Amino acid sequence: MAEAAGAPVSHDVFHEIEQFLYREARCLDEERYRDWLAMLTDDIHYWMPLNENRFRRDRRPEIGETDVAIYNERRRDLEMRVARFESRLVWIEDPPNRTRHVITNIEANWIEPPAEAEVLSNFTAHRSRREIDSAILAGNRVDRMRIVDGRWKLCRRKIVLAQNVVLDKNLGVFL
Amino acid sequence: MIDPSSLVKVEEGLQSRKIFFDPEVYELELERIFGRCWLFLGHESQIPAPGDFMSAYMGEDPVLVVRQSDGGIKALLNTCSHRGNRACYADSGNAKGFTCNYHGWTYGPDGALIFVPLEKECYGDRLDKPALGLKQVPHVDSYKGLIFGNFDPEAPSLRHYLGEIAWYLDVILDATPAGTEFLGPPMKNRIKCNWKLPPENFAGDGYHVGWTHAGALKARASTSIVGIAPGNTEIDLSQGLQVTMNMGHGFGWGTDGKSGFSLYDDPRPAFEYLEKTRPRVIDRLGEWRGGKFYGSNLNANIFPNFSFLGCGINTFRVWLPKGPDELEVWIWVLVEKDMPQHLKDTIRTESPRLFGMAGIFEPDDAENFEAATHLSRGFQTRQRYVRTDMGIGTEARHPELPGIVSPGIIGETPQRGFYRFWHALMSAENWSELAAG
Repeated sequence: MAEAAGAPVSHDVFHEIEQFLYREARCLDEERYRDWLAMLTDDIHYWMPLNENRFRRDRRPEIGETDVAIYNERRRDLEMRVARFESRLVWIEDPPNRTRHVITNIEANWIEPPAEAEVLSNFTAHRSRREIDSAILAGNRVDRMRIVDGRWKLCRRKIVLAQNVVLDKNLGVFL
Repeated sequence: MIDPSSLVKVEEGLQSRKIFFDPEVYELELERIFGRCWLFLGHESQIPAPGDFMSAYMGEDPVLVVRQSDGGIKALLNTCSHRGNRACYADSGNAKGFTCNYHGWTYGPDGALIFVPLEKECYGDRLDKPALGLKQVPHVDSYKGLIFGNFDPEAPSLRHYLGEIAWYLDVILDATPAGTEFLGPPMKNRIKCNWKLPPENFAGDGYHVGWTHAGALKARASTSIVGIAPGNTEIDLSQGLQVTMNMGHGFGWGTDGKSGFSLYDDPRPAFEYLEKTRPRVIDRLGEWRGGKFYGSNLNANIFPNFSFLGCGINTFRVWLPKGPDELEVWIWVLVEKDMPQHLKDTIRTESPRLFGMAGIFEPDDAENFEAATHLSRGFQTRQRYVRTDMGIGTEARHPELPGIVSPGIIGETPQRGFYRFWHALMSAENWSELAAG
């Protein structure tokens, strides 16, 4: 096999990964959360760390997985969140919100060819609620994807929100 | 001219919707509430070493909270004495001083103006440097790790201001000799609502839990937090109590000793910890605090804007006013310092999963608060009053507990206490008039 760890994936593999990310975004926009869960491995780690404004000279270690985070979820936690959506008792989701994920700047490199890759992407998510509620969230993701039973699945996601103070009332959205 | 008595009818438990909307009321709040009350700044564990600092807000005023070389803590108004730029733009860190980006004026960790570029050449000897330090907040004090500041030189001591809630706070802050710490960094987001709506909700609103949060309660299969079931289908009012007191602080607290962890995915390790530590906590704090409150579900607010949930969820937050119709919330997680690491890790992840900006409970509330604020744009809507009159007449002194107590976890006694003190502060010219009244 020509591919090596760290090398970009082939055009064909890149196409599969790109289509995976678009399909995933559409699942979220269409509130097909069970389909979304099916795209995640059993050992998924879904993590959104917090930001803090620090001086460049600051010597403290970067904010990491042992700090308080916005999301720090395993599969069981994500399933619980989906069960909440499905309860039909979440009044803020009824009438439904309108969400659009835009995924760009995709790069994919092998971690372990031919079955595990690191995938970088940027996102912009627009959420519209009620009459005029409107929020735009932007940031980037560092994903790890793996082939399980012949299909790509997401096994790790780090979401870096490009905001310090989030300018919306909540982050009740998967990114 | 603002007439506080027309805005809050204390005895009837009615609040004019203008208090959640009116810019004039808000201006008076900045002066008479945020200018006079003890305001939460942070936890001592966040700034352990000399030179450690963190940014905070008192009302709309930005301050730097700085650990001094003698171990003391100062709070400094974070704005340069020269041309008014912000003196420090970092959220936290360690610094030998703070240099303004505009012209380079430099202040020491104690706020003293220590360096002015080209001072001799441009000012000669006319600059009164000792008078031009960063303005110091006149009173800064801590209660068992929690740091508060007060802008009013005439204000009573922090201990006096906390009053009867200190006895209760010890359940959280002093259950173990090791004390507590904040896990950070803080989570921050904006809610377009008046600053009073979340604090009064945290002070007393057990009523909304089963309804507003029905979906989250269902998802966590929680049959009961102190008797509240999803959808408010059933309620056991025998559990818990609501408490209010002089300075407007208030809370609702269960008495079953474990419901604080009832929303956890797997509360069993926490229950084991509670049972192991309980005899020690009872020795330390007695039967009521160690036996009944420790480990029980708690919602609380220290007037005006410092709220928390315990004894398990452990979310601590300050609601910072940003105009009459917007606030910024800063959220931390508190743990006992000598808890086993596995339990600290569980609280660190479960607390924001329940009550963080992406939590399953937190988002439910903000929309209620926003609508209650912004609908007051309507002239007719604004003429109306909203109510916190549930359980009027149930409040009384308790034979064993400090404060004014109402039975059961659902009622509006703490909210009435919040608005009673709000009314007193807004009506009084100063602290001595308040004390006399």
